[in-house]
Amino acid sequence: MAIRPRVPLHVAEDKILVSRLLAGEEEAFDQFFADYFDGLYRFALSRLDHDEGLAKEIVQSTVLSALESLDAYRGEAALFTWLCGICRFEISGHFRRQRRAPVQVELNEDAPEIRAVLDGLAAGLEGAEESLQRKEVVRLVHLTLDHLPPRYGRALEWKYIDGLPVREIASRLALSPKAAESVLTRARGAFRTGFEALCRSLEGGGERGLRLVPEGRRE
Amino acid sequence: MHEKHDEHGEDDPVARILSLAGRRPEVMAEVRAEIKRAAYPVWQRKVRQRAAWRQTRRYGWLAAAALLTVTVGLLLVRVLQPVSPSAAIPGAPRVATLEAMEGGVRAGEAELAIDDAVAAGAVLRTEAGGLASLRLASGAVLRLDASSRVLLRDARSIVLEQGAVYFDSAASTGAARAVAVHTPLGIVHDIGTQFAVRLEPPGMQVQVREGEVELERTGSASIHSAVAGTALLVGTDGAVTQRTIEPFGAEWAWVLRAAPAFELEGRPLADFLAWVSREAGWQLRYADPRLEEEVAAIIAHGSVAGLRPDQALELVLPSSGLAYRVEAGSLLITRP
Repeated sequence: MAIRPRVPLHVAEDKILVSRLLAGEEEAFDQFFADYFDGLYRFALSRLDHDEGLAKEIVQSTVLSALESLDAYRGEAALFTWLCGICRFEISGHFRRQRRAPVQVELNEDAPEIRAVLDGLAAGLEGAEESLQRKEVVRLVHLTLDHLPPRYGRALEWKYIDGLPVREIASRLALSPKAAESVLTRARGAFRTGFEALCRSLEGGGERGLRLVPEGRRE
Repeated sequence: MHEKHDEHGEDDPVARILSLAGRRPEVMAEVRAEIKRAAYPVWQRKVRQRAAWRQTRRYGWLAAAALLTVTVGLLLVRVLQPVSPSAAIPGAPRVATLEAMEGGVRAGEAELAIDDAVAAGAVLRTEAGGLASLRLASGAVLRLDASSRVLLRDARSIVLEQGAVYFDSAASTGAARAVAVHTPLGIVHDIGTQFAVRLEPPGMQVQVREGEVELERTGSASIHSAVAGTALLVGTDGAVTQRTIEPFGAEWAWVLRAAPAFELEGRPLADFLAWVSREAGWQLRYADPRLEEEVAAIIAHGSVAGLRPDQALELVLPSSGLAYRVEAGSLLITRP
């Protein structure tokens, strides 16, 4: 008996959002911007040497191209990954037209295997707290959050940065408290996988990879 | 109420790393709002196109040429809200000025006049037999052939929905130099400086007169470059073929007709000759170096309002005591 892989829930949600956009739902347009714009802008900014003017131009071109190509989105990747792909193309096109090489910004997550992990969002993480002193790790934390389904990233920030109780998070997500707990559990798992993979890449994929170890279990 | 996740608070690595990293930096609200405003008409247009396409498919119209014609036809008969040429989207920046036209030119439902400003998001249309020449905010020139329809997304991004456009970026400056022309079959990127894009259902043609363009085909990762003297022919099956074209002659006649008049009074004759050459796609040459020096010192007087570049040439040179001939794509200035 053939077993077909299930479409990840967040990709199914992305396809629904795109369908609603193509159907002309105003709320879908607002949701598209609320869920993806900031992450896309951060994605571009980090690749353009933090040139805000240029990032704005690139992101505008990306958003317009994406809206014009909406019916080309087939749900094979998460919507944010698809948008980042268009953004990468706009960035390379910009530098090609300027006849110059892009600023050498080393971004480990551009490696195909890392992109696959970010998109798939699979499993476990360990990291060193003191590494947070480094801007790069903070950026990777934020990048991982951006690649999560939007409500996962928001739920994690509400819980662990803003310190909101689950009841409040449930209200904001329009879910029951139990369902909100479930979202938080899934979000934590997804974050662990994506971040661990990025950190291992940062350390060259060696055995020493960045590991976040619980206090009680420090080596 | 018991908060299950509290028990992971202090000892949980995910909780600690998120807490220490802090919130993701937010994008300035005005940046988000500006891009959202620019995106809205593009999204609306996509929604209408898709609705028209689905209606067409329901009736079994399969040919791409018929689809394009019907889609354009449905867009043309839709009821539009009247918009002023300078406010296609409330608060949208002005991105172009109409410099010359033949026949009627509209932005939305509003008829344009010379010197009218055009805002981002405006949809420009020329009538059958009409022409339009605009100066973009960057300084570049955009021209529309007869029966053309173009969405000006902003000063760098144009959507060609019907007909043909010509673009000359020689006078543009700064970061706004590069422009992209979006079509159903691909995106044409200006590397610099003169090119035309024409929708010829079921395909498209990109003609490069000077400089270079890059064509990014819809649904393909490949990029096609075309340099001066080349035309790319794009079919709906994605096939791209190439042919050689001249930068002058019948293929560019409409571009010549659409050119705004040259302000001749008090200008160096050399400037006038450079303008004529550029508009006609000719190379400017002089019979000898001394003649070129003499021409450089001549100041022209009079008016050539209402005359095409080639017509103006016939009038101006003889009155300046000079002669000319056009041969093999060159405008050769001679003594009588």
